[in-house]
Amino acid sequence: MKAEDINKILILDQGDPVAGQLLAKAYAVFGAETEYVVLKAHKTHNIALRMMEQTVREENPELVLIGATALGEEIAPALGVRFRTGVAAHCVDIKVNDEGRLTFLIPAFGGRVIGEIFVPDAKAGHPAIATVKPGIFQQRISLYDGFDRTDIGSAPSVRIIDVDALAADGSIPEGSKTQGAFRLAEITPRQRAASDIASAELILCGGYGLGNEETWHKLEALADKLNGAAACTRAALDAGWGCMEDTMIGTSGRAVSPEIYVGFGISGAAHHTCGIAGAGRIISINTDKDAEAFAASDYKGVFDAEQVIDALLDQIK
Amino acid sequence: MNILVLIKPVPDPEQEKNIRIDTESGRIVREGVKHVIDPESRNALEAALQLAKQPGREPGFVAALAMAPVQMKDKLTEALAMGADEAYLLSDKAFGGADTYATSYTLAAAVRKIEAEKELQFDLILAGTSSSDGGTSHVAVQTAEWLQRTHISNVCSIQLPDSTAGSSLIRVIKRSEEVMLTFEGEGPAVIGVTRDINKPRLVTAMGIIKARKKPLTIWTIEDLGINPDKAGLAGSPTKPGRLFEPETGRAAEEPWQTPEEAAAGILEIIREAGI
Repeated sequence: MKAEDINKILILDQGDPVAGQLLAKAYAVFGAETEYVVLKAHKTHNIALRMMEQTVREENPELVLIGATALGEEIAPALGVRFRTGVAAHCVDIKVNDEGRLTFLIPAFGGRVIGEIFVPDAKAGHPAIATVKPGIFQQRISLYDGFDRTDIGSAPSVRIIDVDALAADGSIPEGSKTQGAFRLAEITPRQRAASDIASAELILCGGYGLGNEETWHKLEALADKLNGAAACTRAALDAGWGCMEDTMIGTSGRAVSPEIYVGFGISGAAHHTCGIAGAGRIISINTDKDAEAFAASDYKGVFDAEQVIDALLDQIK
Repeated sequence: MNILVLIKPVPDPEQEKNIRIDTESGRIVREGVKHVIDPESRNALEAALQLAKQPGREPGFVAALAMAPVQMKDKLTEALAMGADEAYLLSDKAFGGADTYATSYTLAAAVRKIEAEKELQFDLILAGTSSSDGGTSHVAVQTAEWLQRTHISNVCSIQLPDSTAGSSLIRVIKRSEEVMLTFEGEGPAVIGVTRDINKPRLVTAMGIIKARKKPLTIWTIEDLGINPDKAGLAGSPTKPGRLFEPETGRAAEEPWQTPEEAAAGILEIIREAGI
């Protein structure tokens, strides 16, 4: 599909910053000529899916953008089958190539490889669908408090459809909690980390090279004292030191873009580094002089993580 | 309880460092990288075996299904050795280059054929939510959509009905970013599991011996009766373009000689940024 054929873009808003990130990105690529429709999602995926399906039928967008959350990852591929169209998963970029074609860039092998994906036959009725991990696109537009014109030049034409308002109208059929033959029985909050890594300007991230639980707790204390957030890698999470899963960075975790990121004892497999590509400055401390993380760093130090953490704690006393 | 498990052979995640792109052809070079059962597929199989073969219940039928080149047959033998009763491999040149849409279309056709031949409907179809190589999280959901069955992904717990309490409902817990969602219901359903649902069993020598006697069926596109336009690259609405390695290159300056200098340097960078 040629990018110039895109007249309308539908974005699913799941109540997190990703919808604003998607809108800002789409506006940067497709500009004011395109119409933007934002559907506020219901939290239950069968309802959100039904509402999205209905909205796609009514609005006929050529492109649908969805945040790659647990909700979005269930809706996007289902819409792909229902509308007989292609879904590009976990895009790290959306652009128009030299031939004017809509191009998605997606990671494979945990980010080691990036591939171009096209949905050549997409059109209204069979829209191209793409998911994007929250945090991949840094720039965002606040959706409901007006638009920051300095970010985007001029306000795009955005229409917001509020599912909750529709629900109040009775537009959502009763029995809305059933999921096929499954019914939502219970919602329990998950244990959350003290600080949110998505909005942190400073992230101190610990990898398996921290070595033990005590050092992880030192890193947490240090992050707290520096007004930053402590984060972890998959390996550190799996080590069972008490790292919280919502602070895990990487392809199976979250993407972040803090101003400063300091990695301690992180080998730097692509799984992890593709989650920090948007960071302002990256500092890596690792005893292994050949650590892959160093190639993705602005500053490096071949030291034991614990020694540097101890020195930092010492110096901020 | 009869369960089908979708098994995906993937390049060994431990050897991903050795995967390179050939700059001439733009293709992925996987030579010397061995293939294994995708880690989450293994969790799905373990969950199926635990659910279908619970002591005190009538043992259910567990089938393993994969779409892969015929040399990946040993991955299904491994699934049989872990405890699956039968295995099905969909193998045909016409399946090559399939995206998740064409893959799930083909898998759904095979599910229908297995169910017709066995004269049963699977109570559950289990799969990994996200594979280690492609990681789209699409295939379980899309297979369910083709079969018009309920789907729940990111599931970290499945509990069978507690018959002593008179319940006939399966309980599954789906993990989302902020909450855990507990669903109750009856199959048929397609469930994508996550790796924390269980610890997959190891293959035993006895398992390997038993696996030799279990049926492993290989089906081509003709066996499934699928139109070639619907399979493989031809049936895929997404088309791949160039592949490249991401540019993560940064300067990697090494300004510090001791841990203390590093600490002082890091603090200075943080202070300069005004954090």
